[in-house]
Parts: sequence; structure tokens; C-alpha cells
Amino acid sequence: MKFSRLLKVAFISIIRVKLRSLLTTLGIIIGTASVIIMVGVGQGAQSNIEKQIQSLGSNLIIIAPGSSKSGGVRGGHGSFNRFTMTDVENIQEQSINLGAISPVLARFFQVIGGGNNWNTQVFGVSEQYPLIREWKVETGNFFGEREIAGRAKVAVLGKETAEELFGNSNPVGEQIRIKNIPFKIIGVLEEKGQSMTGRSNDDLILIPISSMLYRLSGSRYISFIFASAKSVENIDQAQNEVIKIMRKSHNINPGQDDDFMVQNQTEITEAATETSQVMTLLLGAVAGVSLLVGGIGIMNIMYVSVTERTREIGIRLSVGAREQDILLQFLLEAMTLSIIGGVFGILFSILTIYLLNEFSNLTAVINPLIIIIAVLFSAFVGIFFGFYPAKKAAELDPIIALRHE
Amino acid sequence: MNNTININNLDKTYFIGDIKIPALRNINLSIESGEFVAIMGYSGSGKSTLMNIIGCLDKPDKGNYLLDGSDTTNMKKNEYAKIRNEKIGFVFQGFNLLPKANAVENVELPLLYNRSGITSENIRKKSVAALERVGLGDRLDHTPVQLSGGQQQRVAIARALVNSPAILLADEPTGNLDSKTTIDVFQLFQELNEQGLTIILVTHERDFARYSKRIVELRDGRIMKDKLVTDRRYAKSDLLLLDKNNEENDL
Repeated sequence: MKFSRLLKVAFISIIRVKLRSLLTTLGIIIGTASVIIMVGVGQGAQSNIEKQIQSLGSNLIIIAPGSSKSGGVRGGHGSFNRFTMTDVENIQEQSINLGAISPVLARFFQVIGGGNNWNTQVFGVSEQYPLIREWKVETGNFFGEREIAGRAKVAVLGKETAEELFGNSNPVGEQIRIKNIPFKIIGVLEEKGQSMTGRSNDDLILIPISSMLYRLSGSRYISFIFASAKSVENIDQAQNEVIKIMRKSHNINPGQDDDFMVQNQTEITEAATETSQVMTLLLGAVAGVSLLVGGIGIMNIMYVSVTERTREIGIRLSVGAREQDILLQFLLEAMTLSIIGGVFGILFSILTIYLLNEFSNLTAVINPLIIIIAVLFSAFVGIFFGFYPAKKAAELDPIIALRHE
Repeated sequence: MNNTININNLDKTYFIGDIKIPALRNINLSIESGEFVAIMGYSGSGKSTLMNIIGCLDKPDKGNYLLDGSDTTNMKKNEYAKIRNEKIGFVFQGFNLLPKANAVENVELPLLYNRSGITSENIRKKSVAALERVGLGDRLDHTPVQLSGGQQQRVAIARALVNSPAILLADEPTGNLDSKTTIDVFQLFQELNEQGLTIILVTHERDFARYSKRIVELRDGRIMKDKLVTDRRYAKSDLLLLDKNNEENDL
């Protein structure tokens, strides 16, 4: 039979059992749509994360304690915390590619102020910290070198912390007590929103690192060193420079592992991107499974259809249909079902992605490549799952098929 | 050799598990163009097997079978399909129409599988002509459920005729019909036969076999008798008689 006539026969057969065809294609519609939507959401999340990391300041370099190694026993990362102010001073004195540098030591404290109390993270930092993070003071001032040198009892509050303690009134000039030590509030930061880790960047208190070390933590160690390269272009140079200085000041021989880690934003970006790529892949795979289930649905229905239409097949064979005519007819039916399902799945997913972007916090992107893959996959599903039932139909004995009730 | 059908020393054996069932043994049969032959026999006599072989739905084990000049003995499946499409028209007891297709779509079916490159227009034309020939020119778009049993069988006959086959094979064509429509169908057969169509009728009822011109009787897979019909029935006069009886009954 001519291909166009076969196609027509396949279409007519599908239309004659409307509800069943609809239910069968539903499996493919859901499968295709979920692949496209899931991958879209995953990729949306990916680009969101990238944007957020960019907003952190792209020339940020973070130096974190690494693993220690003594006598062959290796601890994990951070197992030997040995950054001190000396490290900060060394880097500051010796580097030429770094712009700003600040030690960071963070502790949680129950903070009392404005008649309230609030548990929040207190950061001991240098006066250069806002430069590195590109944070701005909304009201009041940030502390300077003088306050650092004098271990001044001054604090700058995050927007959220200020609101939790003092409500809507201006807290600048007020006092808070951290570990029973009174600190004078000299500034409030601008609102910044959530950080990558999900913690609010607005719920924190910044105080001079010297005050943190000598008045609050009672230890001489600091957790991290934050620095910014003078420009994004020489961030790798800056990073290498930091590594060289740190190795020298920590007396690490050539061939020995670093006892610290230096990360810049590109690395964090890569790591986060990789994570979200894995997530996208995972979402896509789960959705792929539903497409597979849809395919099995088609196979199931094609089997039922072949059994039900055994007599029809017998009639067709008796009037001169060849095996390949029957095979192609049923294969085309399965493929038509799955392609129709694929097309509706695409329309449905585009609509859903539009609605998600418009009315929810999720960002999803429409990826043309994924759409092409989804269509090809749904056609493949039709061929793959339609083939066996179609072959079964084609190989029927016409005599037996004609007698089938 | 201008015989339509030439069967020589044909054997066919079935196996059910290990049990050997000889369905046809040493069949020799020639049917000329324009004949109207009834193949008779009880169930299990082998008449259905013979019909399947004549209709190229089944293959013989031994012997050969020539249909309309071509030897079918060593043909492949696709060639069998071609023969069924071009040289044979089937009429079955159960009509075997596609239930959801209308009359003309059913009749078109063999032409759709024809490989001569016939256009869709001609397919429609030929199908309508075939339906008109069996007296159903006004029922083209009726589906089988909208037609009576006799009308359904006429659609099946139109489908069998649409490709101008060498033979019309009718397997118990009136088994599902009442007596009046039965005679109607035989009248159509006799008419078509007079126009030159070769008809092979498979039946187990002698009364119906008498509408043909020649009776071949099978028993246990062998041809027992092969005789011309001497007391032939004519459907036209049977119908007149039936009408007359009905009128008397009404009075």
C-alpha cells in the first residue's frame, strides 16, 4: 500500500477509538512535558545560581583552612585551624595583586538591644570587608582603622537584625550587648537578600576583628581570609600569589600539600554550576522515566488493539495486504500516537513554563535542544514500543485471524 | 491449458502435537473459466482446507496448484498476497466486513492494497460501480450495522468483485442468512456466473449446491464424486415461488 494511504488508515484507526487514543497519548504528553519542564526548571535554577554568584563580587578570593597532615595522618578540611592575624598581615604586606583584604571570624551570640534579644551571627572583620563584599552602609558609618587598632566596642548591623531588635526606629547611636559587653551601633547596612547558602545576608552584625578576638572569642585564630583581586582579569595571578605567600609563611616544603585552600568565585561558580547540572540531569532522568512509562502504555494499548483487531487483520490479509503493509500500519499508528503526544507535550510544557515564570518564584527556561530531543525520543518510543505488537499483527496466520471472534 | 484452476496430486497434512491428520489426499481437480462449482462435504471432510489452498491462504505439502496460468507451488508470502489481491475474491459466512468502515470503504479495501498504482479517484469509481452491480448503489455510506445481513453479504460480494478476480470463492456464504436472502444471494451468484465469473462455492447443504453447475464431493480428504448438476435450481424461479406462497399465506 502507498505510504500516504497507510498513513490515512492509521489516522482513521486512531480517530475511531478517540478516548483510548487520548488516554494513550496522555502518557506521552505527560512524559514529554515533564522532560521539557524539569530540564527547564533545572536550567533556570542554574542560571539563577550563576547570577547570584556574580553578584557576590566576581573578584572575590576566599582563603580557607585546609587539611592538616602530621606524621602521615591526614585530617579533613578545616581540621587544623591555624590562620592568625599574622597571615592576614603577611598577605597584606607582600601581595601586589590584591586590592582589599579582611580576616573573618564568625560566632553566634545571643544579642540584647532595644529591649529585645536575638540570636545572630557576629562577624569580626576589618574595615576593608564592605569593599570586598561590595556592601554599602545605609545609615551611619562603617568602622575604620582607628577602631580596629583600638579594639573599639562598635558594631554595624544588618538590616534584618536592626529590625528584629529595634523595630522601625533608627538604631544608630543605640547600644547592644553581646556576651554582656556593650557595643555602640554606628551603622546599618543596606538590604542585600539571601545568600547562596540560603542564609540571610541581612541578619548579621559586623564588629572590628580585634574586638572579636580579644573581647568575644578569646582565641587568636580566625576562620577565613577574604580578599579581592585588583581586577577580575588578574584573579588567577592574585590567587597564585596568595598561595605562594601562605606556603612561605606556613613553612610548607615543596612537594607537601597546602594546609589551606584558596577559592575564587569562578571555582565556586563552577562547583555550583556542576551541582545544578547534576540536578538538571537528575530531573531530566526522572522525567525520562515517565516518558518511558508512557511508551510502555503505547505498547500495552497496541497489544490490546492487535488482539481486538485480529479479524480486521485477517480481512486485510485475505484481500491482499502483505506482511509489511500490516506491520507498517500498526507501526504508523503507534508512531502517530506518540508524535501527537509529543507535540501536545511540547505545547503543554511551553504553557507551563510560561505560567511558572509569570506566577511563581521558579525560573524555567525553554531549551530548543531539549524540545528536539523530546520529539525525537517520543518518535523513537513509538517505533520501539510499537514494533513488537506490529510484528505480532503482521505475522498472524490469515486463516486463524479470519476465524477469530 | 485454459483452465482457471489446475490441481495435481495435492496432499495436505496437519499436525496437532504428534498426531498426523491428513486433511487432503491426492486431490486432482480442474476448473475451467466460467464454471460454477460447489465443493461439498461434512465438517472434517477437508473442504475448508481445499478452499484455503485454492484461495492462496494456505500451501499444499505435496503436488502442485496452478491458478489462472501461474504455478503457486513455490511462491513466497508476498506473491501469495498479490494473488489474493488480484485473482481471488473471498466471500465468507460471517461477511468479514470492517465494522466501522462504510460500504464503499469496505469495497475499496482490496484496491488500496493493489500495487498497480491505481489513483484514489479510480478506486472510488470502481468501488461504487461494484456496489451498484450488487444493487447497493444507494447504500454507499452505510456502515455494516446499518445494513441487513443480506445487504452486508452483498457488500462483501462487491468487495470480492471490485478487483475483477479470476475466481470468486464463497465459503458458506449464506450460513448466517434467512431463506429469502439466501436465495437472493444465489440469484446474484447465478447472475454473475452468467456474466462469465468463475465461482467456487463451499457448502455442506445439497439444496444450495444445486444452484451451481457442478458438485465436487469430499470425504476424509478425498474427492468421492465429481458430477455435473442434473437437477439444477434457479434462484429466480425459487424467488417467484416464494412470493406466491407468501401471498397465499397472507390470504
